[in-house]
Order: sequence, then C-alpha cells, then structure tokens
Amino acid sequence: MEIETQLVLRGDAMRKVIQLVVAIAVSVPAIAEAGVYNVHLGGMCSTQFEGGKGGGYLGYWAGETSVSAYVDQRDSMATATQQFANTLDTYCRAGSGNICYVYTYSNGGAVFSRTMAMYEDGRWSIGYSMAAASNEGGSEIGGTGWIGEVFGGCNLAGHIGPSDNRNGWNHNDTNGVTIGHIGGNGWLAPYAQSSILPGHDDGAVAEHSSGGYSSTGSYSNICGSNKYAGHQAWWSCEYGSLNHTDLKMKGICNDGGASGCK
Amino acid sequence: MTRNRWLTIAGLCAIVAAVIVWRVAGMSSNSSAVPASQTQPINSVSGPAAPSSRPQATLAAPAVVPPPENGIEGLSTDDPLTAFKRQNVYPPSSRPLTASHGDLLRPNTRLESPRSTDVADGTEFLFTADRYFVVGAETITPTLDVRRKGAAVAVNVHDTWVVVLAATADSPRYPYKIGAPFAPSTIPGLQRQTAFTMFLQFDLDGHTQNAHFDFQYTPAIGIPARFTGTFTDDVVDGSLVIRAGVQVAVAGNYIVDCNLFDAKDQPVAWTRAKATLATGAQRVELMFFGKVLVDQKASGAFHIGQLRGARFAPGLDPDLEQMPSFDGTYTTREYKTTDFSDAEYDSEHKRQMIQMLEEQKARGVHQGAAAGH
Repeated sequence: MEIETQLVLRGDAMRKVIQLVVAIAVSVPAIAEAGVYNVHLGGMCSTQFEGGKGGGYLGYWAGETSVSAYVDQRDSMATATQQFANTLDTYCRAGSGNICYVYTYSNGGAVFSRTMAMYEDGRWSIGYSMAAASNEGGSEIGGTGWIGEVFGGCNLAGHIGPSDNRNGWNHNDTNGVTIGHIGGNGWLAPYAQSSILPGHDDGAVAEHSSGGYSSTGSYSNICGSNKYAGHQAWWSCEYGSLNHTDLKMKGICNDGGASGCK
Repeated sequence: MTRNRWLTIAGLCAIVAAVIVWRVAGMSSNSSAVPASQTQPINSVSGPAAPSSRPQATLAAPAVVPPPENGIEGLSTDDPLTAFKRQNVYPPSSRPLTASHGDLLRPNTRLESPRSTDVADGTEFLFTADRYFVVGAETITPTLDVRRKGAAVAVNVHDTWVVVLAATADSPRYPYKIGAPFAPSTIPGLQRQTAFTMFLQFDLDGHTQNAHFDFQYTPAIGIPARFTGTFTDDVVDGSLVIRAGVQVAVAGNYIVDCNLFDAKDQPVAWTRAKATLATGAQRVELMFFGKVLVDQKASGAFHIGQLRGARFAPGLDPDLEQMPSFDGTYTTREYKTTDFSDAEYDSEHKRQMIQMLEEQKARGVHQGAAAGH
C-alpha cells in the first residue's frame, strides 16, 4: 500500500515535470516569430492612432501585425520622440528579423522625422514611412487662437510652428528611410485659419509641411523639388478636396491596408 | 531520490534542450530572430551610440543612381526596394549640400510669417525675432511689424512677457521690450536648457491681439560642451574626415552638424555626427562621404561652416542641450577628386534591409509609391 502511494505521487510529480518541459519547449517559438509590423502613429494631442479628430483605425494587411504606437503628443516633442523610439525598439529593432512600415498622421510625421534624426543610423529596420498631412515642417496656426479648435486642446499644440519644427532637428537625416507624403487642399472648420497658412493647405498644415519641402513658402501642390532628402510625393500631387482629417486614412487606403476612403 | 529518477529527469532536460536548439536553429536559418520586444524593455532606449557601421566600399552591384538631393520633381513611382537603394547610395548622415539647402546653410533662422489679426480686417502683423536658440550671454531681439495695405500701422503694445514654455499660473513672468535685446541670462535659477515663450499683447482699433513664439535658451552653466577650434583632416576609407576638437563638460550622446564648402565657397556636402563623448578633451569625427565628394566633382582645399552641436538626453525636456555654435571656419589641405572613393555606401544594415525588401517585393504588398493610385 505504501509502495503504491509512493508510485502514484512519483507519477504525479513526473507528469508535472513533463508538462513543464513541454510548456517551455512550446513557448520558445512563440517569442521568436519574426514578422512585418505596421506601426501607426497619430497626430497632435493624441496618445494613439485610433479615434480622435478624423477618426481612424489601424490598417489591415493579411499575415501582418498592425500596431498603434502609444506616443503622448500632448506636452512635448521630447517625450513623443522618446516614446516613439521605444515603440520602434519593441517592433523594429535591426537584427530582430522584423521589418516595419510606419504610417503617420499630422504631427506624427514630425515625431517620426525627429526620431530618425536623433538616433543612430541603422538602429531600426523600416521599409518606408507614409506621412499623411504631415506637420513635419510646422504649422503657422500654432501661434493662433484656432489651434485648439483644429488640433485639439493640449499644451504641445501651441508650440509646433515652423520655427520650432524646422530648427528642432536635421530633417534631411531620415536614417536612410524613404518618407512618402500626401497632402490636401480641402476646407476644414472653422475655415478662417486657412488665411494664415501660406499657399494651399488642408486646414491645419500648409503644403510646405505636408509635402516635405525644405523651406516654408506658398506651394500649390507637393510635387515640386526643394524637398528634404528622402522625402517624396506619393500617388497624387494634391488631394484638392480632402482636408486634414480626411487624409488620416488616405495613405493607408492607398497602400492596401483599408478601404472606403474618400 | 533514486538514480533512475535522476536519469529520467536528465533525459527530459536533454530532450527539452534539443527541442529548443532545433526550433531556434530553424528560425535562424529562416533569417528570423528573437523580437526586440522580448530582448529589450520598452523603456530602455539609451540614445544614440557610436556609429554602428562605418561606410565601406565593397558593393559590386551595378551603379544605383541616387535621386536628386532636393527631391524628385513630380510623383515618385519607385517601388520600396528601388527607393531604398537609391536613397542609400550615400549614408544617411553625409549627403550632398546644395545652395537650396536653406535649412542647413542658415540654421537658427526664425520662420514666422505675417498673419492676419483676429479681426481679419486686412491688417497683418509679423511678430518674430532674430534667432531660435540662445546660448550663454547671447540675447534675443523680438520685433513687431504691423501693416495695413502695405503701410505700417502704429499700435499700442501694452503687455510683453517671457515665461517658461511649460508654464503654470505661478510661473514668474519676465518683461521685455519690442526691438530691444533680451538677455535670458538675467533669468535666475536656470541650470540647463529651457524652452521659453515670448508673449505679446497689443491694441489695434479697440481690439486686443495676442501672439507668441518660442525660443530655446541654454544657460552658461548648462553648456554641455564647446568646440575648441582645433581641427585635423585626412582621408579615411575613401572619405574626407575632419576631426573637430571638443571640450566636454557633460558626458553623453552628442549630435554635431557641419557643412563643407569648396575653395569657391560653393556648398559640397553636409554631415551629421552622432557620437558618445566622455568628459574632457575629445574629438568628433566629421565624415564627408567619398562618393558625395566625387559626384560633386569636388577638389582643392575645402573649408567648413555652420558647425553646431548638442547633447541628446532622452528623458529630459528639452532633450537637446545646445553647444555654442562655432562661428569660425577651418580650411583643409588640398585634395584631388581622385583622392576619394566613388563606391556607394555599404553597411550590414543596408544589406539586411535590401534582403528584407526583396522578400517584401516578392510578396507584392507594401508597394508604397508603386502601388499605383
């Protein structure tokens, strides 16, 4: 009887050991699967891509993983830069076998550009970045009373003018990443702010910014030269009827990650 | 514990080890690896390190034509692989410099433009200053220009103040005068670089107009490093390397930008060094990539301009601490174009990216500019 009990106990212990062994073995591939990550970076006053002004949702590409970057764009570009670098370190680190595509909206384009310029070359594997309605070159409405209505009410919104963004980092250092731009010229409430945005604008940013131009000025489309290195116009020289919020999903639609865009 | 039981457990461990090795080896053969998320905490970004790869001259593939440095006229239609190859003929941090690179040739330039008053009666005003970064004893001079139909309009400026950018109701305000130099060094208690906002209120036709802009100030005590004005130059691996002396007060990760001009003062190349520097006397290597100089057909004695830098401190706000820019220049010895290599940029990372983008191209997704919309 005592011997049988010992055998049963030993059998239970052995079963647990085997279960543990199997669990360890099975867990290894789960943490080692490399893949394609589509990182989505939202705009001014946001902490994530989804929702907010213009709505927005993560694009879907079969067999790939879409990620919303948690980046706090309510207070400072320094905070946003570090948090976005953390996101890229998580999903896109060079040598991990992963490759990332980055979809930015509005001030997310500025955060992406700044992050590329600050960190060392070759840190991340990024196929390209798609910048919709980018505020990389800064918005003139940053110093006006319209800023809260257009971008939302947050501290950072008043401090993203052309002087801040264009002096803040070397935009020509994209870490080797190509940045594709789309820009619009549609009306956005309360409309009056377009009077202080030079040239064509989407109601929040002028095309000197959304087009990746290396100098401010009045531009009537984003297809001209005089751009920062590595910055390109993609798909259309201008979406004439699309405003800032309309453009949020447009690049993702064009790149096959969503449908139903204007 | 019996000997047999030990043997059983040892055998199981051996099986586990074999399974793990087999799975990991299998993944390695598929060019996969452990995701960075599992190997590095999300909050462990440490900032730039020393350059991970020195430009080399080993690629034997057919010559890739880089896009115009100031951008493609019209829409790009390059697929991502082609775009990456063209973009990376030169390294990310050393590329051609042209006269149209105003942002690089004229750093620290304010970019405010005239704007309508809130009344929107056709009156425009421009509230700006002479610089964006202010260091040590330097001053910043704000100006206000109000115009209606092109003619200057006199206004009553009734309130002007400077306050830290992240101000609260209790934040002290420091007065300034339009048109007069303002010395941030008079603000007490500053230990490191600080962002400030200059506010303005003026009256026009019974309405009060508000305006503001930001600037960055680095107090003398917070200057992390200074250029010493000592330089050497040489050709290293086919590229021109100018070593700039730096006296470092605060160790850390530094970003240093510099432009290169030829003997006729024509822009040739720009560089951006990202280096980790210890305290004391150090040298920063400013690498001007060989193929950039060859493609620019550059020769003779070169000289530098717009040498500037900052310490990059992720986690602090602001995360940049400015060095005083070097207002002088340095002229190299004479070089021939043939002294430099015309080989395109190469690195392990570049090769890995090309391999991954080739695989992506074969899958037919993420075609970027070539998606055809």
